[in-house]
Amino acid sequence: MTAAPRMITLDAELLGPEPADDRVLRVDDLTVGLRPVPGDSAEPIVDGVSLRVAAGRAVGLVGESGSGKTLTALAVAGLLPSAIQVVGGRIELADRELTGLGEQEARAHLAASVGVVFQNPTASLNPRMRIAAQLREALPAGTSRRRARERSGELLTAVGIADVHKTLGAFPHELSGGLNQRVVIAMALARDPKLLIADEPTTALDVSVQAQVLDLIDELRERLGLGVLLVSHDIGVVSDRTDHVYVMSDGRIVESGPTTQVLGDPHHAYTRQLLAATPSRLEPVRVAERLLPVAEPASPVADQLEVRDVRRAFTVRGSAGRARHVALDGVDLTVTKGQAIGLVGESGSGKTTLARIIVGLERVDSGVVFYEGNPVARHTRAQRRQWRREVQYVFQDPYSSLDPRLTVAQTLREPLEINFPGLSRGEVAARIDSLLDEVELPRSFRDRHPSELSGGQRQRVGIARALATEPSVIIADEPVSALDLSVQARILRLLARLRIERDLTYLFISHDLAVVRYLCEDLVVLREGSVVERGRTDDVLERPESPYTRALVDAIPGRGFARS
Amino acid sequence: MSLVQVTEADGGSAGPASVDAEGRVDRRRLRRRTIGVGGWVGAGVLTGVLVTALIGPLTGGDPLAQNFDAILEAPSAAHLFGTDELGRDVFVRVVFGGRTALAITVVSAVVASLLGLVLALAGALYGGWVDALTSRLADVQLAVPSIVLAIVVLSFVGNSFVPIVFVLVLGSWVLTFRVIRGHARAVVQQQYVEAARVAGAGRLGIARRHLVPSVLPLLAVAFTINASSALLLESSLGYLGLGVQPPDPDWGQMVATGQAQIFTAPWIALFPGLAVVATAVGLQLLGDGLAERFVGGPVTRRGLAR
Repeated sequence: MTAAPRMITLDAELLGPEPADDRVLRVDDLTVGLRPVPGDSAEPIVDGVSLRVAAGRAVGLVGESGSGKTLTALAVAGLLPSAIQVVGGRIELADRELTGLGEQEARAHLAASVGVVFQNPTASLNPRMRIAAQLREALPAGTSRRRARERSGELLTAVGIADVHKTLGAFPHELSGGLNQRVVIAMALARDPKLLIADEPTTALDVSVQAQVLDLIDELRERLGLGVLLVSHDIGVVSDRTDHVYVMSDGRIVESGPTTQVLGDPHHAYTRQLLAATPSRLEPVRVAERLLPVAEPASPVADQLEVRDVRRAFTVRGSAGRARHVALDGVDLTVTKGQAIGLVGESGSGKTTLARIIVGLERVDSGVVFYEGNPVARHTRAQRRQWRREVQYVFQDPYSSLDPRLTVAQTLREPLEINFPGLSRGEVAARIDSLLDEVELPRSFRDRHPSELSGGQRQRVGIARALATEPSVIIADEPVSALDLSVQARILRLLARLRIERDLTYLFISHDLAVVRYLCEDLVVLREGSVVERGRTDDVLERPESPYTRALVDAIPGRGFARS
Repeated sequence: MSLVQVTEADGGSAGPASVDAEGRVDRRRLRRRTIGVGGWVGAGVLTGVLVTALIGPLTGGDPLAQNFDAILEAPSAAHLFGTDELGRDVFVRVVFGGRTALAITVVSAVVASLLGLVLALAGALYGGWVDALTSRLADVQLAVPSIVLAIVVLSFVGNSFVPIVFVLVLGSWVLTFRVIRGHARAVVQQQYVEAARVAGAGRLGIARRHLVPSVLPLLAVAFTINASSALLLESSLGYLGLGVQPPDPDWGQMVATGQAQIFTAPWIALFPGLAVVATAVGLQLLGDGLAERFVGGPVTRRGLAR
């Protein structure tokens, strides 16, 4: 028992009035490491973790990727990958010591007492099986066909799915992400578990759907007396939904206690750092007092980009034949020099399509894109080259936006050689160095391949590549959504700094209102291909006019926590 | 706040040893991946065959020299592979025949791979009707058995070097085309190619910088398989009398003529036949080894062989 005394007393406070047999999960000094390979000394990945989950309570496990939070959860669920094993410690699940049981027995006990919900619902469902078949698989072996059908119906009803019959007959791709996650939760509940492990259950979902799914878990927890272990990187979610929290870093629990206490008055430096990096806690950057209102057309010279009545639809092939999906339904947008506009909407709102149209990666069905007053489609060769150089794009996924075969220097050389053919080798090298300086990467990273960079470092390279052409407009499509919180905060600060230094205009696409609030003075809300609201960010967030925006704002997790 | 600054590198867990946030990449393991025992054996056999074919003529043997005092002699120290019905040294003929067969094979495999590569990249880069046209061409090509096509073409235009290479290329470019096209189409949709487009890169630039380097491994694998199928087709043509004409030696043709004496002097057909088999197996093994080497990459041998 290496746990600090403080933790134990807090535990006692929390669980004090309840009998000990209400404790669903008790993990003591759990150590998880790589299966020893000859010649490799195995360092523990999870090092001496102890935690408790009581029936009917939600416990949060917070940390960044690589902190070991997911491995801890997987160890409890008996789902560790084959290369990784439990090295030491005790896991006691529903009053049975797991580590002492034989493999068969342990598996049976786990199957009966733990339900697991993973991050990406579409990945945890088999795309080729109907929902009914998947649920049947989740039910205890030997359930009769008839009973299985009844039970499946009950489970789907329990997770708030109204059209049970239709859902049972559907394939996962025919359902939305939120519905799929409900199905996964139903599967997790199929054997009446005592403990529900939810590993980032809503990270892949839109904010409003996120709130519904979390509400559902809350409700089930209360109604069924489930113990919930909520693994998340999202402080907001944890602060809203749990009453006890463990903060993990580098395989250890660095702080734990009642959620309000830990988040309100963090003691450990790491917890403080994590809290400071939360986007809703960042002090917004407000650069331009010279701002012009978004809605009113300004003088033509000042308009850098204008999108007029742009429409775009895609043909989708589904089981019911072809369907037209309207991505953009007549959108107008004006971007004035020096502005930072946030483009917000849920997935499917058309925000990415709009951004891609503006940089010419996607064509329009109708409507016009203007750059400095001229329609892009009718640009002369020189104008076209200038537009290409001036308007740059930062991609969402730092993993697929860099060519895995090229070094950092080679990646940066490409735009330089294309746009400044007059540069000598030495000049190109010097520019690469200064670009690396600008995005705060060491110059020695020149010869690294993307596989040798972390996500945040890759995104910095992506930003450097966009800056290489000396653009005046940067269109960034969710540039931080794939990154850890603290990395996210640093990239956001970098973007804010670059904007001031380089006098950049930003069109910033995000689903995260907190991120947009930090970086952008102006805000445009898209819904199903149309603009539903636009205005100053602070005004819109304070007093949203359209009901949709209000719903979005209300659904942001951790609002109370952000204000505190 | 100060702590944020201290952790300079984003996501401190990712050191130079390359561990990224989601999946761990163990570089040592990557580097250890080689073409395997089979690949090395294949490479060895091929090197042996090539070297023999290249330096063989230096020994001063003449594949056409007849010696009526030594007809149908069994293999011996004087005649390693024995002699044929005209007293010609079978070893010398196999060496010289190999020169012809290998030259034709290599040239047609190179041309076929390049043709397949160019058409595949054009299809992937331009899409639309270019892609449709090249793909239909490939379909048409696949629908016609290459041996039939070869027989028809060769019996009309005769059988010198160029027409033989032409029919071999026709018979094997589709393989490279299909393999490369699939991969190139996937690469073209990658974000880093879009990023290059945003940076102003044209199609040629994208092909040179991103596409070609990424399909090179595949091309190497496709090349070995192309070469082995070209060799087999070339030998079949020789066997049918449509390839290199006597008295010039050629493996397939030697097998055909040696067939008459298969019971009295089996070495006449056996050794050129063995040469074909050894070279083809060598190519296949090397191809398998290369494919193995790039496992985790875009393709497996099974995916290629179709």
